[in-house]
Amino acid sequence: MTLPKFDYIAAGSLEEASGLASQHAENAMLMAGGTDIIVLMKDRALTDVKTVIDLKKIPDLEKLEFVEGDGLHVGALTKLFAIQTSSVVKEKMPAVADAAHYVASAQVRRKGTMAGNICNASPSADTAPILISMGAVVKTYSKDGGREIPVGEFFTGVKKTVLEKEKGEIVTEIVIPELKSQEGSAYFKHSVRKAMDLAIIGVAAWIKMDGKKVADCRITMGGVGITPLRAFNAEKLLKGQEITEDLLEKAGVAASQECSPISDVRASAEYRADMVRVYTKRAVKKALETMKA
Amino acid sequence: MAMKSKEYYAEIESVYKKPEDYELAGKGNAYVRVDAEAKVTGRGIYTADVDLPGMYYCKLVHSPYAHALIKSIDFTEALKVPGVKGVLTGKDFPEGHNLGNPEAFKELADKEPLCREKVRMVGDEVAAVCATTEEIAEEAAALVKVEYEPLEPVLNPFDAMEVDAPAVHYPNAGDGTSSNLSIFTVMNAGDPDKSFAEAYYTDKHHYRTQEMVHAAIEPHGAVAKYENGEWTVWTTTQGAYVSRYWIAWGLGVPESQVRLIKPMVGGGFGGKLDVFAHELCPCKFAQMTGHPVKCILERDEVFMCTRTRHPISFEIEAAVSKEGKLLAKRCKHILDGGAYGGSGIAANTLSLICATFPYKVENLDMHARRPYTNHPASGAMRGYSACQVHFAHEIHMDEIANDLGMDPLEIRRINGITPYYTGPTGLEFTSCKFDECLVACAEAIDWEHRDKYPIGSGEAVGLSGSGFMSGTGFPVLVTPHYCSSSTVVRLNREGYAVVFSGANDIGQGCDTVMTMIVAEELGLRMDEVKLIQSDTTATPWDAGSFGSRVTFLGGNACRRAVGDAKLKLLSHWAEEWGCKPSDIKMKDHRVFIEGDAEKNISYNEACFGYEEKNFGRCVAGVGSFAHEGDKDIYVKNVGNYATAYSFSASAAKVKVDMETGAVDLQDFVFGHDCGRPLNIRAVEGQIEGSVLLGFGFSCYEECIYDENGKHMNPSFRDYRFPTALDMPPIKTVICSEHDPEGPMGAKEAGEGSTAPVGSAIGNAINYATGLTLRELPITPERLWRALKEHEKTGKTEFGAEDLNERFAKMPPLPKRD
Repeated sequence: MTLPKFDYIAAGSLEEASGLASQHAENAMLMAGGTDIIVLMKDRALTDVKTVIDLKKIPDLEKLEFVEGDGLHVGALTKLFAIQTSSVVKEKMPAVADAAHYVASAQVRRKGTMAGNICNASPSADTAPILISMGAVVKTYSKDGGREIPVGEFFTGVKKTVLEKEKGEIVTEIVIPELKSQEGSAYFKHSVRKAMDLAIIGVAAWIKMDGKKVADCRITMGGVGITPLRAFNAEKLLKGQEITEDLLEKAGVAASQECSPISDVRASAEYRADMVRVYTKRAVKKALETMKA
Repeated sequence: MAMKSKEYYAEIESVYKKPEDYELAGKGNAYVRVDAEAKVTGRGIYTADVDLPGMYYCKLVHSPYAHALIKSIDFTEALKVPGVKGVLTGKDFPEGHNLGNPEAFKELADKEPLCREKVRMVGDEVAAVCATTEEIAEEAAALVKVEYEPLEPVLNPFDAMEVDAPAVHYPNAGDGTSSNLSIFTVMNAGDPDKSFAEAYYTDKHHYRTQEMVHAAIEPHGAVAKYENGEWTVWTTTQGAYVSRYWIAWGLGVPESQVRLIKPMVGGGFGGKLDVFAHELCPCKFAQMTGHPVKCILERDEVFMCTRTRHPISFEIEAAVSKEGKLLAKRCKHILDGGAYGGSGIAANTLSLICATFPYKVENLDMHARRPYTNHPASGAMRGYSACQVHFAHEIHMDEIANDLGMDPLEIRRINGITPYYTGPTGLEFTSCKFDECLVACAEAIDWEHRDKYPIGSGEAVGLSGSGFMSGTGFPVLVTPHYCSSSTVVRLNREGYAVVFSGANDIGQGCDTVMTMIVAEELGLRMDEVKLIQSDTTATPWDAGSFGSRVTFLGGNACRRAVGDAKLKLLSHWAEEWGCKPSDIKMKDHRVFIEGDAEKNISYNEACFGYEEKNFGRCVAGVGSFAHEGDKDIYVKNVGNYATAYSFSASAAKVKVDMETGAVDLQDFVFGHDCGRPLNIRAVEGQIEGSVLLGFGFSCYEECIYDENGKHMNPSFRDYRFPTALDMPPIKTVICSEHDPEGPMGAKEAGEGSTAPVGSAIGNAINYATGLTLRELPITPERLWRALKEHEKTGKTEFGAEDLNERFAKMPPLPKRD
């Protein structure tokens, strides 16, 4: 398997990278870890790439900082492996460490980044559901100065995001709000293999309790639509209620009814929908169990 | 009666080291693999690493149709690409020189190096392009325009056997039989009808196994050069000599003009026994261009164009006594052969032989049919036919036990083969520790307390047993010596020895074992034994790595070769010292009579002394080994198939997620009778690999096709074999005694050990769920579907449900000429 010919440019600054990206627009591809795009180019699944702009030389993009009272700041070049193994991430938001750990293999996680995982915009991306449920925000740079985009509004379709290529818009950071008291979150991936596998489905839940009742919650489903989807009906069922097995089952059924999976070689639509039911229950339950006191 | 090789080599045996003196054989950590450093540092040279100056690259053009006529091939655009050096079609190879395996069945060879007029599977090779770089070759191959006339494909083996089915190879004879039946095989013994009429219990069930692939990490490939009228080919082969035979035949040149060198091979598992277009085309291009040419397959090409494991549909009937004794079996096995024969032609016989293993069944009425279809060609695969057969027959065994209200362990124990049993068709067993294997597994998995997991609770344990041949002769024989192994050992007075062995190491570690055998016999260190391996110019004939024969045949040949050299050396010194050769020991680089300080010299002196006396002639030995079977074994399925038989048992503990259908294999125990394990670490490694393979077979892996015969998951992403994280802890219990026929008492390890894994897991899943699943693979989704349906309708039996009707409507067996 050979790589097609392309120009490779290692940008030295965000400004340079953005300028190049905007200049080459449709035929340019930004690269962080390269674990998605290089493989896709070898497979000829990405055919129109003439220029690869590598971000790895740009300073200050590889941070992983937890700011008390704010949240976790993940740089665009921060490796999934760093997130998965960070003791602070494991302590402050274990579901995010779990989601990072679920991606591909140990080798890929040592190169691949969380920003790359979401920019690749696969509907089954492992880190997307938890970022959406946690209310994470993507910070970008572009010649207009950049913006902040809630991850929930980031995806527009299979392999499509709101990033504006012609403006040379680049993700610089992901900010994940910290879990406050009475808040918990969880992510489950369902796949055939325990590693090196794509999610059949994934479900992330974030929950905020008020005593015994659910004050607020966000449930996000991966692999069951053209983008990760919020399970709004399931959330509605839970809000203001005390959580019981029966209620969880109803929420699971609601989630399974509002997703829109396809059948492919990896699983049938029917199975995916039912797994959303099962894992919605399990994710909410785990979020509750691991909730901050 | 002709002389047996044991008599022929009898004198040599007198100087063999005694088992009590072994310092390496069977000693756990006494030595490491000879190729360990090369492999862990990544410096080992595999075929893809063979780079020669001025080398060109070859890419193949494949059929997108499962069945079609080739109307025309247009290279105009491809030839315009700068750097393209040549193109090939089927017409560039001699007509009628089809590829097959084994050579004894050349008339069954059915694969053209490149298809001339017709394609029979998606991926069939129709043309080849050669260019200065791989990129250019790839680009040009995509520009080759092939015009096809699509034909109706036949994708189901039962459809293929119908008289009006599209003919995959040969036109129908018009005698009411389908020409698609590539092979059928019958095995009969005793009076099964009587047994069935008189039995306390009879049953009939159907089972089905899927198509899986070898998934060797190293893809197939070859590098060829042509110099001085001779080809040298480096290729990913399991048998250098057999590959050389078919390459020469496919090119239409004498074998003397083709030298085949096997570099390191990254796993074979049976998938690298046959010869393919990617080996023939570089040879042809090398001759045409005068440049070396390399062709390495992509992963999807390996999936579609090489070989797969035969999917088998089973109809099994058993007649059993009240006490649980197996009285008779009637079985029909339908094997989907795919588009070609190749190594696949042994599958039928193996499926029948394994159908009674590891039990005594005296009355048999069995047959197997292997129709051609337009699927990729099925062929040999580790646990050849045995994995499928032991899944079906060992799930069936638990069904019998449960129907009779017997303990599944007990029914296996009372039927198990015992040492030196001769089966009703003439299989001659030697050492056998099956019962010990079974009991060891049952104990380790706490079988006695299996009731702590109530049926349907989601947790359970399962048991299974199997047997396998050690050192097969069939099928590569007309005379047994087509399947022999020959070895030369040379002793050097500079303090080392050289082994010239044709045994093909494909990653399993036979290099290490051959080195060890020589080091053990000569009292040398492992690094004082140099191995020259699998090069048709340098090493003697060996039929290859298949049929659980390498340690057994190659090891015996190697021991006889070193024995021959040792006898020559020691006979010389016996004369000098006035003793018998067997009085002299070789140990720690010394040649000596124990307790006699005068008669104690170095290995170097010993060799030199021999040379001095013999006009400088070096000490060299030649040895060989073959299973001395009779050809009736392949004509009538009567006689002994192998020199010895290995036995295995497995026990699995599973936890089923009853909501998702996911199976967690929590614990696994393997009991193995492999004779004396020559390299215990290697045996354990083989068993761990076997559990991986069996687990993948039972719960993960399957080739999926669309309605046109197109492979839908030809990648490691979508063809999901388990990874290290999915594996259970594995406890290996070696229950062996040394086998009298094996080298230093060893039998086979690593192939038969794949066979009981799937059914142990399958039986455990059946108890955990309270269902009876008769079809593989038991993927999470399939199990989820069964559990859902059970919840809704109470149904408990799943899988292979169409087979009762398909077997009932199957046309009768053709008459045997």
